Amino acid sequence: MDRFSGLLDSLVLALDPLVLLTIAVATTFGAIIGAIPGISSVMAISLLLPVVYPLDPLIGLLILGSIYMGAMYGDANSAILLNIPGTPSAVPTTFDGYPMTLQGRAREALLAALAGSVIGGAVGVLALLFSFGILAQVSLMFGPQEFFWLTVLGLTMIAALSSGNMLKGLLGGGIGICISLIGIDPYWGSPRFTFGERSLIAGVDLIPALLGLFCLAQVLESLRPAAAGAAPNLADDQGTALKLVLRNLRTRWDVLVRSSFIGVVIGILPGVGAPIASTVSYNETRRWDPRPERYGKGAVEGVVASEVASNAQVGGSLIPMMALGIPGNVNAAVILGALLSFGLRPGAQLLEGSGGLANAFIIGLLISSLMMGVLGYLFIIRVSTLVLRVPAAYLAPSILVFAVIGSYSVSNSIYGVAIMLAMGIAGFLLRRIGIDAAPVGLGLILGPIAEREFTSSILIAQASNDIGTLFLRPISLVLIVLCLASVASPLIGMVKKRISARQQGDVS
Amino acid sequence: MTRALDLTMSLGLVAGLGMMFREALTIAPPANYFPAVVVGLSLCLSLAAAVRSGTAWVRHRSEAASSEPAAGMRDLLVVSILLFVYVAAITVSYVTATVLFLFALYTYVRRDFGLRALAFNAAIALVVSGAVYVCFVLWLGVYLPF
Repeated sequence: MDRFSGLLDSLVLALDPLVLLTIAVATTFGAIIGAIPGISSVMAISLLLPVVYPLDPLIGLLILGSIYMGAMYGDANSAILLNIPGTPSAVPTTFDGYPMTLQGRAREALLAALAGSVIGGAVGVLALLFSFGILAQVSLMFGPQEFFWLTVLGLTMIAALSSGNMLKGLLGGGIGICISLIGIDPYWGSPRFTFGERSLIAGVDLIPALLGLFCLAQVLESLRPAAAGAAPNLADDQGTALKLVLRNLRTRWDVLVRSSFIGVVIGILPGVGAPIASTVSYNETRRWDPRPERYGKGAVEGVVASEVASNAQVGGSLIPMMALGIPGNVNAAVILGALLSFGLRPGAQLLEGSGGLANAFIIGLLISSLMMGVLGYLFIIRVSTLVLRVPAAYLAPSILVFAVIGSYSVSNSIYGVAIMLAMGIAGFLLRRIGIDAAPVGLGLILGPIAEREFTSSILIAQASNDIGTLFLRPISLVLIVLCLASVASPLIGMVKKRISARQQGDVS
Repeated sequence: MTRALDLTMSLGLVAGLGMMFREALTIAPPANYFPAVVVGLSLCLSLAAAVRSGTAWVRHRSEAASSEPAAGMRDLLVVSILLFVYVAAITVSYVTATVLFLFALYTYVRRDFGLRALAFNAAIALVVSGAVYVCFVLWLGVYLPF
């Protein structure tokens, strides 16, 4: 009863008109930030940190949380409309989102991403509200070995992505990981693969590299005068698209449940983050689908799976932060900084001991997630689709300037821009020989995480003189089985296709 | 052209990954475990891709070269040169460099050299440069030389 009345008090706090206005503005701002390639939500909330300190704690925390929530949705807009992921977690959204745009189904894709973000965001926040103490304990069951296999599970998606040309897909993934190895070894401190070039010691920054790979390579492709005249069409209207999306969500509720679960669980694991959540979710949705061959060609479920998971991990990433003081990712770490500055201490007593503030913050995040649906439908989608009306001759160079300055802003130096240029030209040439940006990008994102966890696991194995610890822990075993299944399913599909093609040839 | 590019790129990848693998072997264990495994596997894949590209190139050597990829490479060269000049010029003056870069690129892509089109391109270049400046410098606090 105490918990219920506490929740009611917090609800009253969160429904204050000023709080609601703050949530609406911050969510919209977050969605815009997420849609601009090169600007991350971390950058935006870090910049706002000094601004929120003097404010009322609830309003300050909700500004940061709502921007985080909005950005995880906003990144889908540029991924769908321009094939440029606003943040690394939107990479899987491009796989089906952009083909849908090319098919004249941009609004359907945008609405699917919006619905997925709203549902995923709400589920993640509800998990935070009702089970944060129990779920925080789950994160403690994961060690480096489990994190390593989880990352490998994300990497196995490369096999699924490249079922058309497995060799080049895997090579692309390998190239991505190899590029991520350049620079100072984070564990041993020695420079590697720099070939005497001093500037490479700093390594390859992820954001400029992804901007080059996805943005510059895409822009170079569209700048060819032959392609510059052709703009993706916007044939579908919003009402019809909404009906299609709602019908799809009703029939494919399994995608929502599975992706929400994946998003929350991966969110609570410190250091894993949204890119793995969206990648694993996309991969699992494809694997469990009766017609996996549709993915990568405009399957709306692919967009939903990616967006549900990346928004569900928002609530998930706040669970260990609020319950144990361990932030799930950098965004959660910045919010933890704000929480501490307002005099709140993370822990099991946070919900009861903060005078309703912690509960009001969580309810505010739920409102942000739901408000995103209204704002997205009425405002954000309508505005963002205007991009498609801009002729490619003006759009592509303008995006290029945003990408250049976005890369520059990462380290306030030309080094980031140089990385973007090198990766863009490499991405353009690789695309010409059949190696897509997606596997290279996944390798770049997941490679450093895989190396970090692999090194920790090896050190543990050496210390305990038992290499079996890398493979034989129960959760690791489950993850290894999932990895094998993930690699085997596209291979089996290919073999089946070949056998049926041969049989058809024999019959004819 | 595409097959020749495929073969050239594949051989380039083999060379690059080969150099990385050689360096990976010089790193002391256990620091080299992960790099050696990943680079070694990638090298094997690149060798397989190179063999496949080489076979395709030998088989289809007599086929007429397509002119479309050549045009694509010319555009890549022009845009890359413009980009390199722009990036170098940003450190001197963001506004001047951006307006000139956008104007040049709009004009190159549109291939319309009429006075009205040029004036329109210049106006759009000014507006976009201003929008980027407001977004990054005034809004997000990124330092750019005016």
